Amino acid sequence: MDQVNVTLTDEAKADLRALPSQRLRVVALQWMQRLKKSPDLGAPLDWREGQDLREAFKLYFAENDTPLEQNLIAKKRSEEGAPYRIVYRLLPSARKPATAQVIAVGPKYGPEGGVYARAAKRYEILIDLEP
Amino acid sequence: MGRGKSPTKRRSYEVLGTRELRDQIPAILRDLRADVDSEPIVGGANRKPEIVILSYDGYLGLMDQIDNLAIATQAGERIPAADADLGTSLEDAARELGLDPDEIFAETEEPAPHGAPAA
Repeated sequence: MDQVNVTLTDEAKADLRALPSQRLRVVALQWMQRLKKSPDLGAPLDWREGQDLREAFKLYFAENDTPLEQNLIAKKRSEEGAPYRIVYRLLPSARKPATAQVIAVGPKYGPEGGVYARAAKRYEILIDLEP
Repeated sequence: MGRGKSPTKRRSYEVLGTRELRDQIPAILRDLRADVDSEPIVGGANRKPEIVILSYDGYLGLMDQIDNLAIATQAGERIPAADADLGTSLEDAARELGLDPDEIFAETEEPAPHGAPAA
């Protein structure tokens, strides 16, 4: 698969800034960097918050991740062990992506419903704005 | 640039007076029926260019060309806008956060665990 561009929406950038530590910001960016070579790295999403997110993907991350280290043996981690998520979509399509667009970044759970609630709202707006 | 000047050279047409136009209408129609792409006829009072006569098919073709140009112009404006709508590149996002992309995106070899035999 060809390398893809990775971009962040303004809201996703604000999410990054809002992460509680610089280490988490670096880890999130490094996971996004990995998307360049492996856009299908994330797990596909489904319906969240009444919004069809089946075209979107999720990546888990935690503060102690080292996404760019060349590990010969993959580190096993439970989903609950990684409290943060990156939500992105592939454009123009998941089958032939040219861009991985990051829609939301943040904790799975939060006071306003967490990362999926934000992603769902933003995804709806993005689709509405598309020609 | 002065008023009325155009960067492209305009073709000049012979301008027919109103009497000539009236007299030549049957011949003009005949010519336009024979060749829809024939040159337009320009006419007006005192040989001042006021009207243009061209075949109906020629007119429709011209309108199509104008439409196509307008669409191409709009598409040209939208394509960069669509790119911009995708958001900020990963590298620029890192810089905005005060991080050096070259540093944080460098792939590293994982250090050998303690106690592992030296290679």
